[in-house]
Amino acid sequence: MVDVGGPARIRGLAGSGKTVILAMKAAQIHMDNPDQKVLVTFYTRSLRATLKTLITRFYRHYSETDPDWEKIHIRHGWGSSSGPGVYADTSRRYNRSPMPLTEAQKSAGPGKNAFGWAVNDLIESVEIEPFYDHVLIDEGQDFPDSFYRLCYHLTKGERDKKKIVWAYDELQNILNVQMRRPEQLFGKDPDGEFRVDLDRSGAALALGASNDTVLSKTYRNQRNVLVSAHAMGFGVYGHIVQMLEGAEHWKDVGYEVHNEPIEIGKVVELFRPTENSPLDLIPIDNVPVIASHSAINFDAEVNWVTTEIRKFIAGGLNREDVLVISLDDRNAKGYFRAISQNLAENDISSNNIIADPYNEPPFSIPGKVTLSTVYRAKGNEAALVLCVGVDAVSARDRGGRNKLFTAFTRTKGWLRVCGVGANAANISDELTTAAMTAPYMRFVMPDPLVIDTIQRGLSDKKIKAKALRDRYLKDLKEAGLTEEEISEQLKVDVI
Amino acid sequence: MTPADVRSGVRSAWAFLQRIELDEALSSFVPLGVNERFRDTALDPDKRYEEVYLTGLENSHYNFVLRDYSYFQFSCDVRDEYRFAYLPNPFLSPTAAGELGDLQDYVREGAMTLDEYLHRISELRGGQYPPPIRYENSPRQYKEYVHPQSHLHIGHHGENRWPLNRELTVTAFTTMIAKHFYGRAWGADKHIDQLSGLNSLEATFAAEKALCRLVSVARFSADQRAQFFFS
Repeated sequence: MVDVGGPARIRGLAGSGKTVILAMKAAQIHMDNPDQKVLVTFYTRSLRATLKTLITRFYRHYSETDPDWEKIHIRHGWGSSSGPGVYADTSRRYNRSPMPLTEAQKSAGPGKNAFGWAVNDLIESVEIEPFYDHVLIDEGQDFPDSFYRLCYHLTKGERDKKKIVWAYDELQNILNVQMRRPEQLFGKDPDGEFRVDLDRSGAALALGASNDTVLSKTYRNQRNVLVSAHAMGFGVYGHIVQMLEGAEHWKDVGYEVHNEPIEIGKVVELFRPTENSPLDLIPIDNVPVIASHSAINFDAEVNWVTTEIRKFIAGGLNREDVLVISLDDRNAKGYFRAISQNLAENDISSNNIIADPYNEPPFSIPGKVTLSTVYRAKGNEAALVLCVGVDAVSARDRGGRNKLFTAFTRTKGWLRVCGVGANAANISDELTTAAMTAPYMRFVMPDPLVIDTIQRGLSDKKIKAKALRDRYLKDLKEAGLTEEEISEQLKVDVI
Repeated sequence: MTPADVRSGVRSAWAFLQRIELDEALSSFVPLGVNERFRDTALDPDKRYEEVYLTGLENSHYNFVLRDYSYFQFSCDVRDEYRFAYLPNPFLSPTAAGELGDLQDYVREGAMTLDEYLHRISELRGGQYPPPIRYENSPRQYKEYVHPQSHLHIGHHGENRWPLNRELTVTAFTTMIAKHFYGRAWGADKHIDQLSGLNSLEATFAAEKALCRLVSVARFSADQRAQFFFS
């Protein structure tokens, strides 16, 4: 893991290891520079325990002691009026009470991002002094621009030397914000220059080193689950709501494009090779990796879910390896009440993530099945994921599709999806088609004017550099070098 | 009472809480085992009640949670040795808790996301809350005057023991807490019992008392009965 000496972005799909890389980086910085202050920040509250576990594990790989948590701060982006968080901590350092959500919402006005407003208000009210030597931002796609600016001010060093690393996944943005370039995220300095420009700060980097990494491989999901989740996320077997920018963008995220060039109205065939999704379960008779169900009513849906859970537990799965995600926010409590009751009748305990408004609770507790909403499940994973209330998802908008993608990609093994009525049946049919077609994805390319296009977000210079690098790597492979030898040759790591 | 009786009692208590609409989240009907983090926090005399409450909530170390995010714990190691606890939410006063219903309606109507709802709750604060109540039944630890077999610990204080001359059941304990600390929910149940003419919850409470066994004379002496005790 190379320190590029300035800002860096890591992009990748769900399960490509962004959180793991940030945790490793935090542990390594702390190992090499124990006196430096490191901030690791995130959006999903239940991710704190995961990050702490990962950082501790990596650090203890080299050390017999735990990390010094006075030096590494794992902080939720906002925090709360009484709890820690990047915004809350900074406010208190300047003798300001963190703004409660209600006040921020009133001040921001209808439809505006309250968190973004509160952070902006803080930045404009006080001159924020640098506080951290390194800032690592996970789930960067969910943060408003002002939060990036706050992090910029909090990081020590001159422009282009500030060590800010942010992980970004535009497909997981369930808050429906467009992909934003670094220039937009961090804004401009008073001299009119962009605070962060990856081309400018990366100009002097060694050959092969990069401050803008795209992770093409995914390690969490089964190959067919990921391809199916992509198909659902884009809507390729139903109603296409979004698309990647072009063939090169698909390649960035680990697909082969079989019929280039991609043209409007023509069939596109994509294929995900095993090398980019190396995880594959040994097939088990009568236990499909993906299954869905459209129930006649709520009770029947709950029964189907709990029967599946019991089957998997009877088959040897630990209870903490089971995650139920409610896709229906309005009725999540009702789902969890009914499911937990049904499980309790069978002496299966549950850990209801939304039963705790005060802590950043551990996502997984030994001996308990986890019950969560999509928002609280982000960044976390389980061997078996069961998504309930799929009928509440609007399959005709980007927010709904992204919700499906985020929920489905929480699984390391098996995926179950269910809901009630016609909408559930439609989504179930779509998912069945996706699963049967995977590891291929086939669709007719829609007109980009009628859908959202997710930008590749690379400058022309970066595109040329990437093409050269890919060609060089191909040459090395053809010359018979192994992955290790190529890595040695390039003297590169991820960052 | 056996662990199986406690399990069955927790199931009935949850059904009762559903009836009076105090139910928020269920974790388990099975009596709880030891959670080291919770035990260490609860037994540390320097820890504030808020820390004890949050540790239990964070680790899902409860059987069920009420609508105001207070929770109950029930444990039973061996026959007739059991402990129940009610841990009230120290952050919500009855007035603040009254706002929860409105907020929940907003979520159901889609005017507020669940995450916003949880964030709003985390910011509500009140000055008054019920005392934590623990109940213990332990024939093994009985010591005349000092350690009654059946007793309550009231408040965040481990050394007070208020004797009872009955062995509480899970449902008796739960009903008692509901009656004394959740008057609005209790009063909202207007069904009248045909025989007694009482609010049916009052009749239920009376029936629960009748199901609680009297403590054996051998472990509740005449001298001790001469003093005050819960009957």
